[in-house]
Order: sequence, then structure tokens, then C-alpha cells
Amino acid sequence: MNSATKPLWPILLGASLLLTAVSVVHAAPSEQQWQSLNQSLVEEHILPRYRALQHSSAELAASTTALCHQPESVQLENAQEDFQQTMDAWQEVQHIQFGPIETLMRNFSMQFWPDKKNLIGKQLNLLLQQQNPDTLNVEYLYRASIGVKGLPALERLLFTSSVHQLANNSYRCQLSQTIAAYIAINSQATLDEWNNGYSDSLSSAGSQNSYYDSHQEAAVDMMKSLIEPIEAIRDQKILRPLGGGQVRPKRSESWRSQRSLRNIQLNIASIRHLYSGTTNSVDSLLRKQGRGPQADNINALFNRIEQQLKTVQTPLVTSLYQPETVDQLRQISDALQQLDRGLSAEMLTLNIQLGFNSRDGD
Amino acid sequence: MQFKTLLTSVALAGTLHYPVALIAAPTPAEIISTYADIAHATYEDSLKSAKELQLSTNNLLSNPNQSSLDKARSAWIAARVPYQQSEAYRFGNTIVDDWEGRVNSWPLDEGLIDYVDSSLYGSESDENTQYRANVIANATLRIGGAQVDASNITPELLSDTLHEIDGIEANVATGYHAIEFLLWGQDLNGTSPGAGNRPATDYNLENCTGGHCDRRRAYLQATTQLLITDLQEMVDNWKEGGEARRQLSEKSESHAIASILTGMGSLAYGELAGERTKLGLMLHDPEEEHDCFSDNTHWSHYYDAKGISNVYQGSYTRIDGSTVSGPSLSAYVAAQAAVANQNMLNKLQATENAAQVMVDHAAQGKTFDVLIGEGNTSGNQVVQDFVDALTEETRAIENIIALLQLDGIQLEGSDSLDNPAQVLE
Repeated sequence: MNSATKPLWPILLGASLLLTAVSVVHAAPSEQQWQSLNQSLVEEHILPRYRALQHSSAELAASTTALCHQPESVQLENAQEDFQQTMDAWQEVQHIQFGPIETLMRNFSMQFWPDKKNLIGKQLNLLLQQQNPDTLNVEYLYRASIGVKGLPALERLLFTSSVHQLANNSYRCQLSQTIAAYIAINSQATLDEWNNGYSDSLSSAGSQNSYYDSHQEAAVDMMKSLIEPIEAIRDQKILRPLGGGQVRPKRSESWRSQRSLRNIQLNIASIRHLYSGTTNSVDSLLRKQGRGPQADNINALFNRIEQQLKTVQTPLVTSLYQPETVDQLRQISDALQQLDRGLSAEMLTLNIQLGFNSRDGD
Repeated sequence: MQFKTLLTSVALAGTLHYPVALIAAPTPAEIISTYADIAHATYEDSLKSAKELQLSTNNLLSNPNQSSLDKARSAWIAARVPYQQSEAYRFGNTIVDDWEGRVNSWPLDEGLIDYVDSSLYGSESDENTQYRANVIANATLRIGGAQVDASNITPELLSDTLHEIDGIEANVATGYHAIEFLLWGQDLNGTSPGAGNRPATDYNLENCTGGHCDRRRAYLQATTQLLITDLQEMVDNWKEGGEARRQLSEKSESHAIASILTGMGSLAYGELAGERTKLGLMLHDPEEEHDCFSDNTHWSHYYDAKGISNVYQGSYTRIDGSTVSGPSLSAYVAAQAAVANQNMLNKLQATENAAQVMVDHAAQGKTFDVLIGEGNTSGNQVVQDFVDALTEETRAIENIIALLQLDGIQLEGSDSLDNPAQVLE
């Protein structure tokens, strides 16, 4: 996608002149600047996060296997703890929706959510009823529904099963083990593909070997990862559970493992890191474009959202019933909306066209 | 839904860029007029075919047998042809988007309406307390601590009380898909061939199957009547002097053109490629298809895509075979960027071809729910090809938006930035 917005049809002289005038004011970043930004984001933001996901999901696969060998409460607690670590790692990289995580629907396979029609429950229950041994291998999961092979399915199994149900190498325990193994394989493959090809494709944007025609085009994927999740967090993780007049706590993400608020905190911290936490960053680029006050405003909004999130009582699945929590979340939602607006406005300065996103039409 | 970014001087500068050097390039005002004319014709055809549907459902109630049921089903399928082509108007026109939930809401928890098969449907949902309310069997519903009197099944009960009851959008009590469920019943074939198979005797007062045939008859009558009332409203909105035309005329010309393109892109990508197609492919779930009771999804998708093409090319073929056409967005783009226009036309054709492949498969019994089945590699690919074509089409639309310098325009619709209250559900 080439989204250059230089005057493209010379016959429109009047409009062209105006556009030229505007583009002098907001001189768009150079290819060199985009390249430096992309490189910092890959090395300092994206790769460390996929390494963390690979590491924690491998631990989770091991502890789930140990649980099935020795189904006792301490093993179940270990597996639950490793699930929490893996979900931490996933929440910190959930906003990256391009590259190897898109291959073979890996992103949806890691986490299908929100599940508005209870399909995870329906499909998982069917598997548990049928207990078909052919389903207990990762090859089966490759072709199975995204409802039964990701973190939400594993969360149900690990946080709503008794030790008794997991004993005697039960189907339920073996399915948990298989899903955990599948998640680890997915995480490993994502990291491997970043290391063996995709990073190079980004750094060599514009060359024949790259998926990208330019560094600016590659930066569009980065900027989508920065901005699109903010609206998704607001709509899906905050406003849906708030409901229209009546709260719906079970619409919260990861409510069974009681980490709904933590997910949001990790998302915001990670998105903030993507914005300003690397050697070359969007924040520094904006300042170079003469947009210091706007960058300050964006930082102030991040501060405000992080502070507000700290005051919310957990777990959300119960605290949502308190009017105070509802008020706090509404304020956070408003601040997220401002952050979304602020960042979106700066994309014009940077000459970035975000385009349609998968949530258009919701 | 929004095309990101904010109103700027760039966008304002683009408001009146008539292509001065080329002959016969339409003006924005002419394009907008064609757009509204096609909307009016499409909704008028939708209304006309809904009235045909009503005649056939009335006949079904007078003579509930397999033949009258089959005729009603055919009328429903015919009614989908113009309606699906109207969906390109939904995103980008608030007046359509706010109304759409009454006529084409999907997906639905059909257990709200009538009996369902427990083993397939399940008995409860995390999300929906009315998952199995079955209003046809129950004259009283419980919502939280309150009781709802449903003893008389009327259009008002469906639209004002039952539809989206308890704030749950899957509680779809009205519209095409409610009628579809009443005509076909649940499709119990999973991802194997075959649609819903409700017996005609479900409407037979003397020899009633499924129980409560009197209430089922009342439900079918009420919801069909509502569809007609709702479609009439939208026809009136697009008449000369109608509210939809008025809202369009209040926008700047570039804003109106941006709305047209947003409607095309949001339908193609987020809605049709994503929500209605890719999600089903990833879930391999037979209920994750748009027309899941009738197995008519291939045609619904085909005509959805066609509606996008109509809007771009400024031409609509009516159900009587006549054509409504006028100066087109395509000609407008061609005058400024011939390559981008040709690229867009190619992508529209590629999407139509991919949709045609699904239609051809359905003709051999491989309907959408079969194609998305777990392990059906070649079938999955047919559906994936449609998704890919729509994705490429969306890229072509984005390209046009950039070329026309419309990317600075903030679009309304269901834009959370404009109307936060709308985002709540």
C-alpha cells in the first residue's frame, strides 16, 4: 500500500498548491527517519516481547505436562501461575497485529475474544463430552476452531477444573496439556519467523526481498499497532463490561483468572513503550516535526490513564458492581478516547494513512 | 466504525476540486445524486420483495403445507437480493446504521424466539440470560427480577420489548433473520450439507407440531409486518426531500464522497470479509454464517459485494430487470487517476468472481457451512479466496481515499469519537 499524499493529479492546480503549502508546514519524516524508528521498535519493543512470550509459554507447557503426571494442588497452582505469566507476555504484545503473528491465523489462535456467542464454551464442552483421543495432539489443534486452542480455552480448563477432574490422566488434563503445547509452538514459530526473515524484511523495506515498498509503508503497520488497540481496549475491555445501564462483569477479558484490569494496565504500559520507550520513537519524531506540545499532551494522557488504572479496585468481575468502579472506568474510557484522538491527529502530521481496520463495521 | 484521522485544512482544501481539464467528468453533486437514486431504488425493491414475502407467508398460514412453506422460503431468498445490495449504504449514513439493527441483526440467539435443539444449541450462555427464553412457548418472560407480559405477540411487543431485550444484541426478535428462523428452523446438519428443516405443521392449528402453533403464527405475521414498516421508513428516507438525502446534502461534497467510500470499505473489510466470513472460517462453526438457517449465505455475500460495486459504478439493476444509473464515482476517480480507477474495477471484478465460486459450490451442495468445516482444506480455501479478494478491494478503496485527499475527513456513522453513547453496545 502506497499512501503518499503528495499532489497526485497535476490538473488540479489550485488544490495542489494548497497541498504543497500544507506539506511545507508538516514536512513528513524521511525514509531514513522511518527506517531508524522501525529498527528501534523491532529490536527494543517487538523482539523482546516475543522472546518473553516464547519463554513463558514453554514454561506453561512444561508445568501443564507436570500437572497431568502428578495432579495435585501444588502442580495446578504452578500451571495457573505459568498461565498468568504467559498471559502477561501476551497482553504486552497483543497490540502487534502484523507479521508472523498473522500467519496461519496465529493471533486468533492465541486468543479468540470477545466471544459474544459463547462459542468457546460450546465447542470446548463438545470436546469434553466426546473425549475423542484423536483430538489430543497439536496436529488436530492446527485445523480445529480458534475457540478451543488458545489462551481463553486453557484459562477455562485451568481455572474452573478441580484437581479431581484432572486426575488419572483425564481427557480434560490431556486437552489442557495439548493446548498449552500448541500455544508454546505458536509462540516459538512467531519468534522464529521474526528472527529469520521478518525483521530483515522490515529493515530492507523498498528492496525486492521485502514485503514493504518503503520504510514509511512498514511504519504504517507500526502506527496501526500503536493506535488501533486503544479503541479496541476502550470498546471491548471497558465499555462492553460496563454495559448500557447494567454492568456485565463476565464480559471482562480473562475474568476467570481475575486479571481483567491487569490486562488493561499491561496493554497501556506496552503501548506507551511503543510510543516513547525506544531509542528512536514516535514521540521523538513528533518533536522533530515541531509537534512538542502535542507530544506533551499525549504523554500527559498516558500518565493520567496509568494513574487512574491504579485506583481501580480488583478483581473487576466483582468490583464492577460498585458505582465507584463504574465512574472510574468511564473516566478512563474518556481519557482513552482523547488519547486515540490525539494520536490519530498526529498521524496526518506524519503523513500516515491508517486505512480501514478489522473492527470497522462493528 | 471510522476511517481514522481528523478534519484538517488538507481536507477542506479538497472540497471543491472539480477536474477542470477533462470533459465529461461528473461533478461531486452528480455523483451524490446517483448514489441517493440507487439507494432509493434498492430500498424500494427491498420493500416490494418484502411485500411478496408477506403474501407468501399469509398463504402459508392459510394453507400450512410443504408447498406453501417452500414458496415462502423462495420469497425470503428473493427478498434478500435487493436488501443485501443496500448494505453498502449502512456505514457512512448514520440514518441507515441506526436503523439496520431492526431489519438485519445478526448473529442471533434464536432460542429467544422458539424451540431449539438442546444438544446442538446448549442450554445457557455466559452472555445472555434470555438464551432459551422461547417466547413462542412462554407468555411470560423473566428479565432479572421483573416479569414481562408476552401474552399478545404483536409487532410492538417484538420491536419495543423483545428486540435486544436485557441489552443483549444477540436477542434478535425482528428482521430478516428472525423470519428466516421461523421459515427454516435450526440447521441441524452441522457442517454437513442441508439447511434447516422446520415442518409446515409448525403452523398448523389442527395438527400442530413444535407446540404453540397459534403463537408461532402470530409471531410470523408480526415480524413480517414489521419488516415492511421498517423498509417503508427507509424508502421514504431516500425519496426526493427525504431525511437521508437531507443529511447527505448537509455534508460538504468531499465529506459526502468520503462517506460513500467509507460505506464501501467498512462493509467490504470489517463486516463482510471479517465478521461474516473470516470469523466463520476460523471457528469452523456452522452457526457462524450469515444466513445459517436457510444456507443462503453464498447469495447474501454475493449481493453484498455487488452492492459495493453498484455504488462505485453508479448503476443498479432492479429486480424487474430495469436499470437505475447515473454519473458515477468511478468516472470521477477515472478523471483524476485512471490507474486507480482501473485497479478498483479489477478488484471489484475479482471479488465478484470469488463470490461466484462460492455460489457455484453451493449449487453442488457445498454451501458456506460445508466450506468452512474443520479439515475441509479445499472448501476453506474457497472461502479464504473471497476474504482475500475483499481485502485487496479494501486496499484499492484506501488508495482512492488517499488520492482524493479525503483521508483527513472524520466520518460519522457509528464513530465513537462523535457519539460516545453509541459505543455502549
